[in-house]
Amino acid sequence: MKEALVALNTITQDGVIGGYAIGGAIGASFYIEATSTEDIDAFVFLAPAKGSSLISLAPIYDALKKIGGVVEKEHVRLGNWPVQILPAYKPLVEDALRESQAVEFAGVPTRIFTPEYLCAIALDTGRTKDYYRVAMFIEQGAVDMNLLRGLVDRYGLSAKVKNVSNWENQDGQPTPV
Amino acid sequence: MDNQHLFEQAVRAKAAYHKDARALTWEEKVASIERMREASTEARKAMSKARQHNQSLNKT
Repeated sequence: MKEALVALNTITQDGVIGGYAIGGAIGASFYIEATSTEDIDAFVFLAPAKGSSLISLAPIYDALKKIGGVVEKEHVRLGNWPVQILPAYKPLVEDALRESQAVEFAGVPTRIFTPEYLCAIALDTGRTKDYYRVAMFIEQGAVDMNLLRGLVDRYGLSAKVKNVSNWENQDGQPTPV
Repeated sequence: MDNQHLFEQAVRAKAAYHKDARALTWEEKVASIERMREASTEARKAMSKARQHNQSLNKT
């Protein structure tokens, strides 16, 4: 994974992207027990495009290819890992990127989402495995529930929490299904 | 009674395993995810091979 992080740091320093943070299962594995995944989710702030309002990932793919990346369908393979580049497409993800925290992986500086934003994005994505991930964060005591409840309210995710098996209301009672 | 004892032992062992898994460093966890990926790639290859073998048997 080191190669992927070095490459993402390089395109950040070169101004191709405005910053990035790791989310998904790899980001979650910083805080909780590892779960299987096929790729690294790299959420990126796109650098402002010159003279165009259209979002394009082409400059990012081109920059990564120049430093050894291999484009494979919707991924760029960097070292052993396929990396999926996901632009910050909505306020929740933009805020998650702004609030991301600096960490190191094998001596390489990188950024990851906080547990609360990882859970909020998982709720927003809403697949079964995403709800399961939120349940794991809660079970393992790896998320601040007050902060997460705040994000759930702010981003309109209240209807989703019933899908998390161990979600509790403010009074500590399980949410009725 | 014996069965209950064995069940409780298994639950304790599982809890200890999960506790250990959470205590790993991020690098160690990512290494374990890489091993999971490799294992699932191998499993997919084996399943594809088995499917081809079955299809060839059906043709004959």
